Amino acid sequence: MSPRGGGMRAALAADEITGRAYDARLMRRLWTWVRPHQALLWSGLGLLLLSSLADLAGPSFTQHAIDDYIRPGRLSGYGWLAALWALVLVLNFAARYAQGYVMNVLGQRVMFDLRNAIFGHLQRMALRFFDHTPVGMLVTRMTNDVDALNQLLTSGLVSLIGDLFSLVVIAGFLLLVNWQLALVVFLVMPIVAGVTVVMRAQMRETYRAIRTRIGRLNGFLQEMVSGMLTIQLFNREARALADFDRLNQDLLQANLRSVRLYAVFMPLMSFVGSCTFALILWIGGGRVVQRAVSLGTLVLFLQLSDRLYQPIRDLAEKYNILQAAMAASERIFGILDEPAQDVDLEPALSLPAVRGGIEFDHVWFAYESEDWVLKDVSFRIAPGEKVAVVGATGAGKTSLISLLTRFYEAQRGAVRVDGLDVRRLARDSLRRRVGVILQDPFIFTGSVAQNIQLGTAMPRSRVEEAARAVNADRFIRRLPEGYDQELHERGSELSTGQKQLLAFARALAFDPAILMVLDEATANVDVETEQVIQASLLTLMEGRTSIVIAHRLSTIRHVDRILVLHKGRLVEEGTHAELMLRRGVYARLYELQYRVESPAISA
Amino acid sequence: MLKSRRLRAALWSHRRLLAFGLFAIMLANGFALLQPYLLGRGIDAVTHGDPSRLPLIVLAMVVAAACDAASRFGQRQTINRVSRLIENEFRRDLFRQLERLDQRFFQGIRTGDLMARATNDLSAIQQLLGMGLGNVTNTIVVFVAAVVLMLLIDWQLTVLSVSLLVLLSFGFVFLGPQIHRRFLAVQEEFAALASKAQENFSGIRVVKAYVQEDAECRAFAAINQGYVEANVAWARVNSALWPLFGLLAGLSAVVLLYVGGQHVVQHRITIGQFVQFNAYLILLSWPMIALGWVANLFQQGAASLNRVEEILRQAPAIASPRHPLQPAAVSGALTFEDVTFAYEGEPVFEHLSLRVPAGSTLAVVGATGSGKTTLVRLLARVWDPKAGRILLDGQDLRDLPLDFLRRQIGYVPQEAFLFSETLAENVTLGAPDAAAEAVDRAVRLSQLGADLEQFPQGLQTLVGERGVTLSGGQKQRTAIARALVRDPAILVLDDALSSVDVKTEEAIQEGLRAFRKGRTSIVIAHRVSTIKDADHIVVLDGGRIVEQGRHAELLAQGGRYAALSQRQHLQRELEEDDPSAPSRGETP
Repeated sequence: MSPRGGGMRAALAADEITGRAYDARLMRRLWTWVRPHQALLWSGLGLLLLSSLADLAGPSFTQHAIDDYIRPGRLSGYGWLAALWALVLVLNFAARYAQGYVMNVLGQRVMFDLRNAIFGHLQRMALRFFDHTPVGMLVTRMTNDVDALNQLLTSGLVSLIGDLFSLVVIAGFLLLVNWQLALVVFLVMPIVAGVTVVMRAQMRETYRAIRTRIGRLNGFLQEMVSGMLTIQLFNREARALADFDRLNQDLLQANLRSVRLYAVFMPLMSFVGSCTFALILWIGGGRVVQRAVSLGTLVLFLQLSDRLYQPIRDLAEKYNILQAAMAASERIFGILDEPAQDVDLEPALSLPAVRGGIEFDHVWFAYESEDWVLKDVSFRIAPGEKVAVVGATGAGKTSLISLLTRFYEAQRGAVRVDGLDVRRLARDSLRRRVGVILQDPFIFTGSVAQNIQLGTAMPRSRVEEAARAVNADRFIRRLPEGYDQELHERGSELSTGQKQLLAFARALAFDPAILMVLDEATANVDVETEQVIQASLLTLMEGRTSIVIAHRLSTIRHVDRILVLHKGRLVEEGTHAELMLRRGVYARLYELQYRVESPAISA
Repeated sequence: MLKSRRLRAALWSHRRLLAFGLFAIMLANGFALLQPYLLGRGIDAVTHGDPSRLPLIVLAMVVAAACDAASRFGQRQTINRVSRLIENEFRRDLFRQLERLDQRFFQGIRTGDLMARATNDLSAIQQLLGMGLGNVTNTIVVFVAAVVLMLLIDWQLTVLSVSLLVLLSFGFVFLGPQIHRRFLAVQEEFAALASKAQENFSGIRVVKAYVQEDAECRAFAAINQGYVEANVAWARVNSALWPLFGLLAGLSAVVLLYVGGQHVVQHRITIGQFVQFNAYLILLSWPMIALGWVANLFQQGAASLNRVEEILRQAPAIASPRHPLQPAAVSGALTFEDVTFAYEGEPVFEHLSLRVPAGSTLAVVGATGSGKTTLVRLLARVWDPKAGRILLDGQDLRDLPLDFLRRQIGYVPQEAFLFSETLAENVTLGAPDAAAEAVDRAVRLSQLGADLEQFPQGLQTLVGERGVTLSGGQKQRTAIARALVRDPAILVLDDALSSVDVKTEEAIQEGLRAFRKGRTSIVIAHRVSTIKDADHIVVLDGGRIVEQGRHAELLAQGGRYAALSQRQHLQRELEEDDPSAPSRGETP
């Protein structure tokens, strides 16, 4: 609750922008993504240049009107002049509209490709990668960072080119019309550029402070909202409010600083503009009187001088966008550069019809460097055999699933299915035959049926059959829309038990030859549901090679053999009766587990 | 928008700044409008071949520009400041209100929705105030003044050119809602895209286990396509907005050139006035655009204000009484008197009565959904009964000061909520001034001490994303320490040991035995071993007490409790005797 802690959180959470605003290497890389759509880019740029030129029409027409029609007092053909200008305006409108639209489409197409590429790439990453990378960060890469690149394309880079072009065009045009007066205008440019650069640097600092503080405040607020009951029950309201006030005041101060900066900058810029204006009038006016400059030219200079500075002000602003985009592309390409590890060896073997024999041959495995989870583990499981693996938490039981499905790979030794090393098998052919039921029955947004068949085409009858076999059919039919009932994120409308049954149905629908079950006793499941889950699990194991990471004793009773893992080693092996007689690790575990398992009271 | 009393009051409280800002606007516009006049005179001086007045005019222009800039500084420093101040005050009000609101409110609103109101909606209000307050006044002032000045020069020219300029205001009025609607569609598609990605990454194990990578890529590409289409639809309208302004402003300049040029030739106005006129038009174009913009922001801002006020208007259902009793000490005797309670529709309890003598231990057992948690939460007035009363030492809870009542209770929920602070701060959450010895004792009794040794900085270790991630058991132990350190008269353990292993549970139970002396305890548990020593055991079923008494009494009664206990016992014997006996899964 101290803002100090929050500060650390926000500082680390905010993607700090400190890098360079231009990085040739990154730009070249970005270009490979733009190249397929370059027709759009060129037409957008063409339109941009066209309208930069058209922008000169106004002052030019005014100059002509004054010098050739108004001052001489001859108005024949004057209407045509006005009509021509109006036509240019309409064309310019069309060009600007088309330019904005075309650039947007370009940006969207590039982003579409990039997002698909990142998503596809992440699908090929090994689980090890996901262990280390927070989901929120990956989502940010897909969304905010890609959008920052979009900014770079649509408003950053293109208008940067546009700005540079108008700068050159206007400056050139002024020199052409009257170089002496043009030099007067240029005199002020360094001042404008200087003031802009200084102010922008200050604003960047302030923006960064504001963003950090908003992040901190919102993080705090979010946590408070989630934990409000705790705050209230522990009479913490006043202190929490004081903490909130501090963060709120911090944000206010940063906001007020930005108000102050703008209050100085905006009027200052318009003051500089007015001074230039006055200067041109003074010097130009004198030249008009001397007949060295026409009145129309003077008015043209007065109109264009301000427009010359606009690109300079914009250029400074683009710096922010460029910097943010460079940082974002660095992060995006960083992800795309991560080698995809969940891929097949070439040539990969395809598993023929699986009988379901499993062999662990002197397997050593660690999630992290030398932190061995499995130490020299060897065992064989015959096709159709049912085996339970027991052991205390941290004994390495779950890693068996990880290795057999090739979610991870063993550092030493080999895991074989029907005598074939899993590393030489094609992932999809392996995983299609090894069914896994995880501890957390993950439910996707989508209908009940979709949650069973996932993205695989499957007749409805097979879906329903699977659900019936694991007793999920009953609760599904009670849902208002049955199998077509849409489930929300994480299946929030289902109970834990129902989600478990749905996961069973999913496993059964895919009809695996080998089944691996993480049979964690689920908390908060009443006895009736527990019984249903038990029965369904047995149905599921029927006729398959099964490895059950068992936490329930009742499951152990139905297996042919028990493997006991202890601190990464396979220490005992045998039937329940044999192991009990041995009075070793298993017997002790049994004692302990049983006590945990004393049934919940239910009426 | 201005119908909001709260907003009016907020504006009124900053009336000095606002008045100053208004004055600055008038001043700034006065100086700004001087520029075209001076320009016109300068041009006239030049065309008449009389440059002697030029230096004076130029000097006046610079002075006027300086005064203009100074006034604009004043305007921004007052008006824009006020918008930030009001935003800050609203945010504070909102937070304080959230602290007062009860669970009924929090359960009726999604966290995301609440956060959106506290962030997006507040900033929409701020933007409207920042843009609106200054720009509306500015536009009115500059429009009236400039048009009067223009009319004085040439009314025909004024009517023709200004009428085109007025169209600028309608740019946002017509296109704005379209753009906004399409923008909302973009945001919706964005949310869909983000949640698809989020879901895929979170469920990546399932995706891989079922070889769904390609199917997922196809599904993602479809959503990605939807996002692109929404964006392009937005761009189709949005790209027109600023070019349209350029077109309208340009056309009004064309009209001025055409008609004004003729008027110069006809000697109705001087060429200086013609240039001056042109300068007025340029001066007017931005305020006209801004006016339309504000009108557009207005709708969104009003909707946002409404959403924020919806929260601020809520009356907390649970609050201290107006004239609370001020009890001195609490002995901890609790009485439920004919209590009826319902969250919605179906009552959880009907006419429930129960007495817990001071210093005794009550155990509550029952299946999920039997109302155990609700029962203990009624005690802390998380909810109030629909009918009947709950008494603490003979006083209705609703007559006691709310903070006083809650201070008497050490509540350990099933799911402990820890804040991203240090462990020390989490433990002393409800007793920030607790002495070091009290903290030590709580840490010892809750068995959190052993965990602390594993952490780099002991009690000063940060919890959460930026610190250590605690296991379920560690969270529960922290929550227990948090409750003990309050030194409560009433200790409530709501299935608080479910994630703690058996050995640790025994140690905690042992420690609590001494702690519970002289305190009233309520223990909700699933394991019979946890509760059999209680002074009184209550079996809840569907919100009714179906049995109550001591462990031995209940066993003797031969009812449900006895049956359950018996069933456990039988099962143990079965499983110990014969490994091939049918599992619990198959016994009816």
